[in-house]
Amino acid sequence: MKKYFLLLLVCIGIGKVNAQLVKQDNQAQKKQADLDWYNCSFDKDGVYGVEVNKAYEFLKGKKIKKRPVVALIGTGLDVEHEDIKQAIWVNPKEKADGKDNDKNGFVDDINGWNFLGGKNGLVMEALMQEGDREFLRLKDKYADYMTSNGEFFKIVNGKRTKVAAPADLAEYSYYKNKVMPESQLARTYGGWQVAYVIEEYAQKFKEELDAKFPGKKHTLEEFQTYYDPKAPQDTLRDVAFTLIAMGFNLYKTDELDVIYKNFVESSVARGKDTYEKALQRGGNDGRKDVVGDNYLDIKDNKYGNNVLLTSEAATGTMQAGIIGGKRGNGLGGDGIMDQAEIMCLRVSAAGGEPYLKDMALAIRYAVDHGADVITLPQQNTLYPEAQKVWMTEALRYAESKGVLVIVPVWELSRDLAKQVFFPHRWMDGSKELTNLMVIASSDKNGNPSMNSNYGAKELDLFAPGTNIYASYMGDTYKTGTGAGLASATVAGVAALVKAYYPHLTGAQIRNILLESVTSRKGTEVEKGIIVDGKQAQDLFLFEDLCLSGGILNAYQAVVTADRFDK
Amino acid sequence: MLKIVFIFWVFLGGITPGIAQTGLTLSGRLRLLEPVEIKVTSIEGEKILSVLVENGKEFRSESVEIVPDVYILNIGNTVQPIYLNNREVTVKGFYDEKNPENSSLAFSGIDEFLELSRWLPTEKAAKNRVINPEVKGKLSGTMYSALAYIADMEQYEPNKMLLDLVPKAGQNAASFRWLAHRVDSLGRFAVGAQAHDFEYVDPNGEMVRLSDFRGKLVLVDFWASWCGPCRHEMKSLLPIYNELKGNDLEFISVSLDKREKDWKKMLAEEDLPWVMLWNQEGFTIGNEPNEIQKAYGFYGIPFIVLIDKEGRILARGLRGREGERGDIGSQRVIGDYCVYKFFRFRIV
Repeated sequence: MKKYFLLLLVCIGIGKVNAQLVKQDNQAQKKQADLDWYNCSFDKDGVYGVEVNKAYEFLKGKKIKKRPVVALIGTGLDVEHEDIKQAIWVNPKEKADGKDNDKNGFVDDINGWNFLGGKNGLVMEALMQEGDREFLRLKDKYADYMTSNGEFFKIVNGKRTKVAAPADLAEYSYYKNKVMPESQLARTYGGWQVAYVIEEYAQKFKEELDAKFPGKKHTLEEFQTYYDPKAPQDTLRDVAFTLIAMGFNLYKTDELDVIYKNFVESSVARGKDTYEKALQRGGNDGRKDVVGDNYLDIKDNKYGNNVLLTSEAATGTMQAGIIGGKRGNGLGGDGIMDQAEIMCLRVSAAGGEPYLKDMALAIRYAVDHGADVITLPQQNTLYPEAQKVWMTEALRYAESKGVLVIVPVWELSRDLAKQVFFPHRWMDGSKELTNLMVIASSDKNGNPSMNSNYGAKELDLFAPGTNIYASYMGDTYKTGTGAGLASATVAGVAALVKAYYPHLTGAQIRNILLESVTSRKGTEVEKGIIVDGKQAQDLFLFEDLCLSGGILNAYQAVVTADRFDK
Repeated sequence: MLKIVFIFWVFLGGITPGIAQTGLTLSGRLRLLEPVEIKVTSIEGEKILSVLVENGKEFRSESVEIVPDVYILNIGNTVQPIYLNNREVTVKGFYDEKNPENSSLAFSGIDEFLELSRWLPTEKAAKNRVINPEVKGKLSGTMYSALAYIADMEQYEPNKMLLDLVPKAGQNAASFRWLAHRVDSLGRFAVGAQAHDFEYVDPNGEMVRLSDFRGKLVLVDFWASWCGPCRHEMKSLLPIYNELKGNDLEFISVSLDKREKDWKKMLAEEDLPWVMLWNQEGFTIGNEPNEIQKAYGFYGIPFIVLIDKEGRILARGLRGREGERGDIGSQRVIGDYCVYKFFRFRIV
């Protein structure tokens, strides 16, 4: 008999303890349809699983031809977990002896590699956002520019001074239009620079008001009447005017003096302080100290370490459980393909966004070490052009070797037709990538995850990723939700197909998975969307959300693959 | 600085080793990012046993004979009260000291703890927590006092009920001592208990005692000039006072200002018509309440207590209902309560 329950423990200071019972349940009495439900069928169990059990009935009597290798590019992984250790990839030519036995440039890469590692087993625990990395890279070149009426200015010794336009206008435009919206740091820096402009114009306004209404205390009334809409356009002046005008409301006052005192006079100091604090908080993820490479140089590619058990390893461990958890042993869930060999390539940490260099090198590592299926941790809206090439080339390399790459969408309710997320199949401008699958999470009832991104052409299919019971670090098990788990379901099914039909390429497997979905075409489902920047909901036909119009189906996939094989 | 740590524990119970055990033993295997010490102490802080655990290595502590009771399990910096017995407790799972919320631990050999945890109240605020009386007969020995310890309730009745359920044999346990002490201190300001008789100075320099008002229903309001909510509360008392005033009702506002001039200044500003007293002890924030706070058992102001004609506590902690902040809420609650109690007493 197994009794499980969860306790939420709140510990305040030392000695004061407060335990609270949150949930009590008995997992052993639950059915598979409530736990590792992706194995189930709608006919038999009433849930929109991917019919793995049924697939195995079909495959009965057939032999596995190959142990498929699945590379999980993402978080760390507990490779010693009781339910998945039999499905962990072992580098055949490497020994744990402190030497690079297979001469691949990585020392003791037994089960994979941690690209966010350094000497003495140190690992990076949080990353920066791509936008902030780009801001820091381009700050010295472009962050100081401000424009008004087509002229460029900079703050020199606290004064706004006219300067020549930046030499590389295209790059400047990239900074302004792509990096700034993606970087909190860039915005706080911009705020600091604007503060100088506010100060400058505030002084000007005061002088002009004094001249127009001499000897009078200036209030909102004077300030408003004094605005001249017919004056020649001056963007910076307008910005300063608007911000000061907002101050009347903000400080609930009628007197201009109050705003000057509370807002204008301290705005430069405040802007500087805000920026410096933001920089201190999020301006350094320690890559230089821990990893020590140059992240902008793809040739600087011998770095990292082999520490795979990390703080955020939950995602990788649960993914590995879905793919390779031992079937039928009564522990945790049953993996979809427990003969798979799972390789862990760590490029993600608890926060922030993976470095494109790490991802590109991890894809190449996976391909070079025999991976059949690769999962990537996430998409991103910002792929700096020079680094994007590394990703495209790595994906093309995987394509050329017949390797399938799976990436989950974000839970942001975005329409992928309107907002571009990388990687996608058209990212290098030439013909479509044939081996890249973009997938999203669905639930037991066959509904798409409410907030997942969607796209009738851009998103391939939905797969179980909500409330899935799977292995967790330290021989324990938990229920989790996330698009990353959905990509594990897809990877598991792809590995299952590959195991029995090993000559199929990644591109062929993608086509099979798309063709063989449990079709939900014509079904109307509720889906979160973004309207004018706000979260809303709408009804969608399933086929308008994704290319296949359905949910992954392992049984149909092996039947299709089998037909294909004959 | 206070640090709030959340942790999820997965408990795996039921598998008790068949080997006869003479004492408590901790054993198991953990996945760790860095070595950690697991320690068991009594609730009074006395060390029972400890064992240093390394990533992935089996560990086993010495065997220590204990009184079955609630103990404090320390895993690194994370603490958890847990009911333990003389048997082997095994732990497996993952523990992350820096991010305890990522941890996941499974235990076996803690069946009594699982049993008593079923009865734990779920209310957030300690003052709202109670125990279902059906617990009687369902637990045994010190499990009752352990339950009270873990539940950490501020009400007198559920603590007293659990205290009375502990059999004679369990009365030497630490949790029983703890509970007896808590029941004793809660009892002193429980509803129905004799209110502590205080004596403070009024604005004319005269000393006034609470017992001077025997025979009247007395509402005592503890406040301080620097406490915004207190001043709100006082103002909201005024219409109630005006509505109910009469020969058998008195309001007393006791200031807990440290300086007399702050009190005097406030008296002038608020100009309220009832008895104003000053307790020069002031108000203590934190764990060391002053004399009057201890006597009435309060840690925050405003604190309002209603005392009956015989000097017994009729109601305490009168204020706006939880989640109903603002003048209207508090006014109505106090108002309704006073009207109800007051008229009942007048009629009786």
